[in-house]
Amino acid sequence: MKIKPWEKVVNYVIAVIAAIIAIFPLYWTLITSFKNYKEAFAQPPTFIAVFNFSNYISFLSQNKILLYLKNSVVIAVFSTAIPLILGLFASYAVTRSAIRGKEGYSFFLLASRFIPPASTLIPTYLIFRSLNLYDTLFGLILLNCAMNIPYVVWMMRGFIRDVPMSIEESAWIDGAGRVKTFFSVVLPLCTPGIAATAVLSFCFSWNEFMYAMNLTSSSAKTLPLTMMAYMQESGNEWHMLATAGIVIILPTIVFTVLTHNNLGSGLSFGAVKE
Amino acid sequence: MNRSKKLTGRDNRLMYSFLMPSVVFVVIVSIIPLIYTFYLSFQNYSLLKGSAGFIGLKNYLMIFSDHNIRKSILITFEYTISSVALTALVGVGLAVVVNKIQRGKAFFRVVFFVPMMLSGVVVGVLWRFLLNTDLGVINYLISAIGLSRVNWIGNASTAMISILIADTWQWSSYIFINALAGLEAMNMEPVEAACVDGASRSQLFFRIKLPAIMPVILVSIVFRTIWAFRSFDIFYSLTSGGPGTATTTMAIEIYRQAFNKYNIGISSALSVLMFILLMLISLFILKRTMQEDKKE
Repeated sequence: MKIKPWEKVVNYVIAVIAAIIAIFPLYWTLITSFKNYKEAFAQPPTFIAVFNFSNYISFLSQNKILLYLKNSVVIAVFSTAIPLILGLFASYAVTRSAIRGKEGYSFFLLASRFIPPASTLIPTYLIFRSLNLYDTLFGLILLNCAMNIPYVVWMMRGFIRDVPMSIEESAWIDGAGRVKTFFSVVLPLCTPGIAATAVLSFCFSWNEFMYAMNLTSSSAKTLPLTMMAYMQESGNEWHMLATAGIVIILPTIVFTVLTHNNLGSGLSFGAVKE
Repeated sequence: MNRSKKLTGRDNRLMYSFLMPSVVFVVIVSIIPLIYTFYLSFQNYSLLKGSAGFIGLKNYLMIFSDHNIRKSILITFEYTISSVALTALVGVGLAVVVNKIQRGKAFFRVVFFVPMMLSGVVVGVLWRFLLNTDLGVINYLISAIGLSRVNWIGNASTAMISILIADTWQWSSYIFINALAGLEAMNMEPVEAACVDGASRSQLFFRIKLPAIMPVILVSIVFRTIWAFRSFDIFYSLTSGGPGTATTTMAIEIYRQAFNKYNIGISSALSVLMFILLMLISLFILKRTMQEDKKE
């Protein structure tokens, strides 16, 4: 069926309008971060602003912000690395082994993600307090790892399945064992999938808010919490809120753009069959 | 591949060692607190004073008789259904549109994908600013075309709409990226054959394309439903559950009961209820999804 030219144009117009809707809030936040206190809520608002980093400098030099930034980075990095290591092994076992009941384990991991975090917030809080894990990076890392492992397992299933059995089998014939094949054949072929999964885990941990808010007090706070602090103290400092917001979302945007191809197909958790 | 039973056994043992660390980790960190929640739900427990003992089902009776808590259950369902419906419509629609684009497709793919990867609190605060009655851009644009400004967040009747706006903006991404992946991986033969047979545009879409990408869409709807049901970040940052209790979902109510009213027992009972409800919903949808798969 030939697509008539005017249909192409209409299609494009819809896409552009939708793109404007998608981008505008981010654009608005960005230029607000370049404005000062008064300009931020001038009426009528100005839609263009010059690059101005003074808000960023004052935000980052605020007491403790660099600590929160460090905390966010540490938590996100460990909560990506550990689930990747554990999850890659588990994902391979679920995809390629002859274990009886492997589907059951796989489903169990997925079902653990059906538990609402709100439902386990209080017992986690109580357990953490009694185990001295309250307000520790270690505690938050544990929670984020448990959150990410199932997604790693489920995302990697599709990528591992895409590695042809014949390649693995020829490695076996050449005398490599399961473990060697895993490291030297399967993993290298899954590198794009691993990168995408790593980005997803990183973003989930970086953005994590509820546990971070309730299980920290002074030393383990993460960056998203700064948003709420600004809201409560001085609800009108929109220019600083915009600045904090941009700092928080910038890494996630960069990583998403870099891996969007594989991230997209991985997020169907195996439903897209190539 | 022909292996003796001994080799398979050894291989299986190795595979178990691959698998078990993840399973054990999740059991310890995710399941144990869940069991503790059950236990706590039967207690009279104040965050300030500690446990005052076992009180059986009293907490559960209280949550079903408390008007606000019942309201939070209703609001959670209303929001979840609205959110999933809206994001599915927008997500699939955008995927269809973007799939037809030849030049610049990658650009649109990225642009529509980014919102779901953003921090929920940032999205909430961002829209709180945009929808601000006197200072927000949206109201400015509305007043510029002659309509009166809307108190989006402060008005009980529009507060949920504010949430849905922000929520749809963010989460249509997820449905979009899955639907697009499905469309791109779709087998074009049936489509071309139908074209030759003279199928109309809407027949092509509803009878051939849509069923072809249904598995992917269903999976993404399952996850979207689960994530929506337990959504907390956007609610906390955009409306704080208000005004009053207009946007107080179960997740927010659980938080309030525990940390504002110090009532751990009630909070835990509500947590258990939320867990059971979400499990039922998830299993129900999954079952439907797997039936769809089996039809293929």
